[in-house]
Order: sequence, then C-alpha cells, then structure tokens
Amino acid sequence: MHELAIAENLLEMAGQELRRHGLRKLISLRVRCGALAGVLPEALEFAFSALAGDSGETFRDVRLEIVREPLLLRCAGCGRDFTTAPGSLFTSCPLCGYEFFHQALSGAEIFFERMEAE
Amino acid sequence: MEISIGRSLLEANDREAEELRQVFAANGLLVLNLISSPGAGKTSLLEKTLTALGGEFRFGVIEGDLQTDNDARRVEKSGAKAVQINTHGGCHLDSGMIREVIGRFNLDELDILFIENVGNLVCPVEFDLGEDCKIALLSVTEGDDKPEKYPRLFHLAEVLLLNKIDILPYVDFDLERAAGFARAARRDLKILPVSCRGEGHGLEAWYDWLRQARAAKKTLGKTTTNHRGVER
Repeated sequence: MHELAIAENLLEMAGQELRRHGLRKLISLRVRCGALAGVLPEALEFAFSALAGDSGETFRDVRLEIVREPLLLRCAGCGRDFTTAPGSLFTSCPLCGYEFFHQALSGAEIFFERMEAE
Repeated sequence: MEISIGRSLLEANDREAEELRQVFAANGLLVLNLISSPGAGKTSLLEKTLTALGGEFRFGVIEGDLQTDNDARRVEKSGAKAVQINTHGGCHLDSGMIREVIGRFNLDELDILFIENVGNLVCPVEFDLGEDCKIALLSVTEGDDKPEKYPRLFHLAEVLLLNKIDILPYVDFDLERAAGFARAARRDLKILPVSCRGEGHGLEAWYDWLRQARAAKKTLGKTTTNHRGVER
C-alpha cells in the first residue's frame, strides 16, 4: 500500500521536470523497481492512475512503464556475482551451488529513469 | 521530448531521514525503528524495556498507529515521554512525520528513542526514518516461515526478537526453522527468543544488546546498519 506514497513522489517529480522544461503534457514515464524493493507493480500502476486521473489534463492518459530489475547478488561461497529472478533472495548460486547468505549488490532501488513530454 | 531523470523515488524521504540522522547524532541519541505485524508485541516489549531500564537510560517513544493514542498512553505509564502519530489509514511512518513531532522531545535529555512503526511487515521497511537500526519482531503465533515470505525486513534488521515463546508448546512454530530463514536473509542477524508476558523471559539478552548499542553509539557515533541493505 506504500505504492501510493511512491506514486505521489513520481507525480511530483514529473511535475517538477515539466515546469523546468516548460512542457505541458506528460506522455510516458519509466520506473525501475529492484526485486528487493518491495513494490508491487500492479499496486503502483493502480495508485498512479488514480492520482493522475485527479491531476488534470497534463497527466491524462500517461503511459507508465514499470521495469522489474533483477537482484544482483555476490555469492557467499565463491565470491562471484550473479543475478536472480525477481524476489528470490534465497536462490542458490548458479556457479557453485552455495545456498544462502549472499550479499545483495543492487536490487533495492525504486528509480524514476526517464519520461517523455511535449 | 525525452527527459532522462535518474532519481530515486524515495529520495525526498531519504534526504529528510539523513537530516534526522544528523540531528540524532548531534545529540548522541540511539534511535531504533521497531517493525512487526500488528499484534506481535511491540508495545509490550516497550513497556517491559522502559520499566526495566528506566533507571539506566532516558527513553523517548514515538508511537505510530492508524488510529488512537492507546499505545502512547500505555508506554507513558513507565514514565517515558511518548508522542503518538496517527497515520489515518497510512501503512507506514515516513521521515516527514518524524520531523514533525521531533520538536516535542528535548533530544539532548534522551539516551534512546524508540520509534514503534505501524504494524505491517512490508511497507515500513522501505522508509528510512533516520534510525540507527531496524529491530524486527516476530511472534510465534505468526508462523515460522514469515522470514522466508517477507525477507526484506529480516535482511535489513539488526536484531530479530522472536516473541511469545511462553506459548510455544501450543503452536506449531519451529524456532530453528524461523531462525534459519531469517539468517539466510541476513547472516549476522542477532536472534533473541523472548516473552514479554508476566515476569518476561529472555529479555536480559535484549537489554544487554541495548546497552552495547547505546555504548557504541556514544563512543563511535554510529552503529553498523546500511538501511537499504545493499553493499553492506
């Protein structure tokens, strides 16, 4: 449910960028969510469309693209880095089979990557 | 027109949390963010802790709940200063809410500030409040696979208190299994089985951890946690 707070931040940041560039209509946004970030894409989409719908013409029919980032782990056994499918902090290392305690190098971000506007 | 942004969507919260962290550090204050499901025993743990260590440390408490000031009133009976935040439906505390109430404490007259987050195993985890550590609570009525289902909290917490162990004989909760999942999420997680009921059980180990964390904060100026849990 904290996706609502994240959607609010997204709209606010997008508004700042529009003003900075003197643009009037937002067309699309791209957000990257790490697998560890605890964000449900469907919930973020829902929260965003609910908020955007109340924010006037500027934010009407904006396309929100949410890209799920895999988790980048460093194996606790062999020290090599590997990525895993979203959500699987407990994956075995594909290189040596070591099971647990891997170090998370990235995958916790919730990142506003880019937008398109006119 | 394409515009490249490259900003964290939590940056406003993180920035404010960092400012809070500096305010806390300037006062040598140890700040602990208590996170669990509703009913795991956060307030009971605070009642026990504040009563037992009230002569040793000066405590402040920020209570986060959707509604009511029941918890603030409960912990204030121990003599500690408590401030209630009502989120009115909001599922987590954020650093702006903490900043708004922080002026109601004399920070230089406190040793340890507890922030009891809204009962929720998911959302509060993403919002840094400027704390030194997150403390996770899990009660034995919740099921021993919770750390596997909700690994993020256990990945970030410094301490896991396994609460309500007095009723272990009546529930199918395997302490070793829960501890195994939690340690898989964080190898150096400190796991303390406790009960906050009646006389309490296992709480001395928790009090000792608090004493050590407070001493470390006072002498080193910080504890160890990296609140996003990466590159630790």
